[in-house]
Amino acid sequence: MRVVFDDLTVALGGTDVLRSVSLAIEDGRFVGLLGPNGSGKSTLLRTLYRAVTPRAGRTLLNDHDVRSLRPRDVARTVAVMLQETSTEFDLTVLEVVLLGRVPHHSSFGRDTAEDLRIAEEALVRVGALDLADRMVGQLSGGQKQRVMLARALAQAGPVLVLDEPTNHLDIAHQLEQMRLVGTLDRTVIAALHDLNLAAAHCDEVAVLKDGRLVAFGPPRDVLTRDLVREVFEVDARFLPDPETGRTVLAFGHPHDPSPSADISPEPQGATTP
Amino acid sequence: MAVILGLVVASSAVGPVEVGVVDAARIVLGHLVPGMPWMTDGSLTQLQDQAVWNFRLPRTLLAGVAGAGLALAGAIMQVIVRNPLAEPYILGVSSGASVGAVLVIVAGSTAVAGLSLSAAAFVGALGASVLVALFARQRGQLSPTRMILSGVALGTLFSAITSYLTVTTDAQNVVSVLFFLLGSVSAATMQSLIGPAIALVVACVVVGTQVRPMNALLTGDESATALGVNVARLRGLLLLVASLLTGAIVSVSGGIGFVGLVIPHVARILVGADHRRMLPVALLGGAAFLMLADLLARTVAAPTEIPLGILTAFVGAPFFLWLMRRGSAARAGFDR
Repeated sequence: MRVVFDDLTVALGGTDVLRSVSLAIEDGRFVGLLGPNGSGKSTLLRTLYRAVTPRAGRTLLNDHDVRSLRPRDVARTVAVMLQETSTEFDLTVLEVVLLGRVPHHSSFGRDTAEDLRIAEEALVRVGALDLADRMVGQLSGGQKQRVMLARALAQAGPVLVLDEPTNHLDIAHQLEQMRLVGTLDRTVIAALHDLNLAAAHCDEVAVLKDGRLVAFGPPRDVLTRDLVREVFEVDARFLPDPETGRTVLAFGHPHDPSPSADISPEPQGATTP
Repeated sequence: MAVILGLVVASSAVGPVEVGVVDAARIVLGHLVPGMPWMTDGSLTQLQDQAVWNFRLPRTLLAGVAGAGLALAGAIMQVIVRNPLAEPYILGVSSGASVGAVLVIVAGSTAVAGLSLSAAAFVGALGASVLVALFARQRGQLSPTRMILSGVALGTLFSAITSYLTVTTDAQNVVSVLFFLLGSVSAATMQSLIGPAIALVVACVVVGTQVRPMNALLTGDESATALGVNVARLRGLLLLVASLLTGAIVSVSGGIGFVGLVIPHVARILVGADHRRMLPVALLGGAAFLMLADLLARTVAAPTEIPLGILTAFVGAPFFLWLMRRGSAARAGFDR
């Protein structure tokens, strides 16, 4: 499904957090949303599942404005993985994943055998089936995040929205999760902080700063040294990975003499020319 | 269900007028099914018949309806504001009702445009809910935090009015006031049951059609929105239902405490937070608990009657604390 943000402006508490953002995401693409804290990544995603109302502009799913669709129809189309879930009244992992089936049913009645199959399959895919009977409130941050991804998988729908899907995950689960998301036959839009993960897995990246879209395209075209410095205010070095040949980004504070001192295997001052 | 039926019969049989358990059951059945021989063959005295049908049964049924209704309203309020401390009275419903009822007690019906005590209490309850909802509105939506805080603030204001009315009234009125504030079903009649019973049925039907969205709301507003739930509309609908239900109950039975706060938690500890399992348990548990409390209220210190609110706290608090300490309480999110 094609997702279009058409000249979107969103104001929250009197401040414009998105300013005239226009972005067209083609069917089946995996797009990373990049940008520093407060750049508007989450807000852009929230317009897609109707959690905020834009002051101007539209968010379109295959040319239909989400505001003109019924909430349930939007939820059947756009599956969402949020960063956090509230656990004041705690549910089991399986119950939370089954909530992904809510938009597919009337407001009452039992979960069907089909729902259970979908939910368990989703848990298997994120490697969390063994957590099914645990209370969500007792899980670690990373485990919770995998459960939330399972819920989004169970929600199905041709569009998948991920808000910082990897920020609590250990490195193995980060890679596994990005690989899993990349293999899905869906349009995926993910807010990400890790530029290396984005560069390695996304078809395209969109970069936001202060609520404006500053770049959009394939990662290797967009993530240049100038852009990283302008948007993220850090220096980036581009190092070739000797195993894969892919470029790896190393970062440093602009005032540091050696930007990659912590990551580079080579001694200070002897990094790139 | 069996426990509740047993309590109805036991409660009908216990009291100053001697009626056996079997006779009590025969009297109830005789009124429900016409043509039962024992109703006319003289084996039951008129006194027994009156004691069971006109006094004990109505109050037992009202206790059941009130218990079920308060447990349901409490569960709804806890979801609406997503706070385990929420209860049916959190939005000032009972303190609003108290102002209406106490006005009638101390100043007579004429002071409140000829409304009866129940009617005045119902008006007070709804008035309080409307005020809280108005204060809690923020950009067209009800904000949970504002709901709690404006409920507490207005509740305090109403309580102050009630307290003032109470201390300035004649001493003879004070006991009546106290009975209303602490809750009692002793004045129940078959007529007084109608309002709360209708409210309970309507609430069950409405809530029954919203259980999945209510489950989604447990995980947060944003999360529920992402699942296609219209959160603002759901919250408004649930608030309306809970307020009407609580108002209908409080206006007849006074401010029975503790049931609405604790029974939903007990239900969650027993079967988890999924409303499809938890609400039926809360309804039946609330009914059974309050019927038992009423039975004790009129027997432990007979012939003196103890206000229900005192009994619910005496029986309920230790039971709840014991249940909370057990391992299964983790299922209700008590270990966070």
